[in-house]
Amino acid sequence: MTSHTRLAVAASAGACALALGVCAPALAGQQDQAMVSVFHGIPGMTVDVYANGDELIGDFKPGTVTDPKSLDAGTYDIKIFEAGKDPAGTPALEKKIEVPEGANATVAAHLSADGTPELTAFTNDVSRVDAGKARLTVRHVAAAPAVDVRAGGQPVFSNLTNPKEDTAEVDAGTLNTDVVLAGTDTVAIGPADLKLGEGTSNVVYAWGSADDKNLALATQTFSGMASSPRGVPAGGSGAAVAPNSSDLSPAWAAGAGAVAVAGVLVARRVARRRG
Amino acid sequence: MGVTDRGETAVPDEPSVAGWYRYGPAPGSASGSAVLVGHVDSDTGAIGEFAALYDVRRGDGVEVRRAGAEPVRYRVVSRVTVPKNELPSSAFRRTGAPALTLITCAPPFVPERGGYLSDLVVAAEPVKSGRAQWPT
Repeated sequence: MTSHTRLAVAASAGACALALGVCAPALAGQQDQAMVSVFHGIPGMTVDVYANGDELIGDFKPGTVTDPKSLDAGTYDIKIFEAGKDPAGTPALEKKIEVPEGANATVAAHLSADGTPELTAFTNDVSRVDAGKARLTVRHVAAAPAVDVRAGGQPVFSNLTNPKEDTAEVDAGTLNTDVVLAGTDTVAIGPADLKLGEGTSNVVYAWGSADDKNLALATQTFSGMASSPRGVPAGGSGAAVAPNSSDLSPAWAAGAGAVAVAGVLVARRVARRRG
Repeated sequence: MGVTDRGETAVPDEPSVAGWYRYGPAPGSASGSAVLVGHVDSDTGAIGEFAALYDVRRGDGVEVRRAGAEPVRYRVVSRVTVPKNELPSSAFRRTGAPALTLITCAPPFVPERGGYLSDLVVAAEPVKSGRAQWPT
């Protein structure tokens, strides 16, 4: 059973890194699970979300995203109703969504480029990022034409169309971003500061409607993807070992020898950066 | 200290100064390994503060003084030399039992291969303040 599970996970590309690196402890003994969150990006309508007839989320407001929830892997019949409506009736939106074992997915209820409500399932990349980095993903789920996403005035993603996404690993820190109509300097959303914590994966939804002038950004953050630095370049001339011999008789022995107790180290406490 | 373009930790240029790896836990944190890095020597030939780690032994005390907080005390539990860029992942862990990890360069020193070929990794665990046992 275990080997079967590993094979299945290994075969499912990027998503498996999450299952192994982040979710494995929580899912021990229940390997047929997936992490699912839901984003609501249809302006002006509070909804109830049902999965296979069971209420998953109630009174779900536009512009919000739920925390990831562990669900059995499988196929879900997702139905979206205006809040309080009878779930036996005709849903505002319905789609069958397949959630593979070990996946981390976000189901987005949003407008198409021409303003029609629809459901799209995205796979969240929660594999590790390099030390000092953060992952930035932008999903175009707005009733709007193609856009470019800029950071500090420079394009990060170009010609992104609904319902596509693009992703990049960037330096951790605060990014001043805006969204412009593709190939222009016409700002559609922003500017907005995005705080990208080191070792996190940040998904930004560009949602709403250009015609209704309610385009906005919503952010979903996953953490726990940090990596160790590649090394510590802490050497210089070799003076600490080299001077008169090839062994470990060090130049500083005279001074350090008197210190029977370890040296007292003073670390400058730097304001801790939190993302 | 952050991370350089080469994916390594930044290390203070001044060899008498140790640096804290700011993406990890701070010394005194309730969990994870707080990492301090320092030069063993500098390009100018000065001996670094962390050269003192060559003399550190298991059981030695380490005190980290903090601005605006009480000092935190640790006791050395291990000292290992590892090949350059093969640091144990436990050194940079963000979770688990609190620890302090001190890292500097270690011999062999081979200039034609870039200098030091190893790292010295000193791991320390907190000394519980309730039963402070400072080494004598």
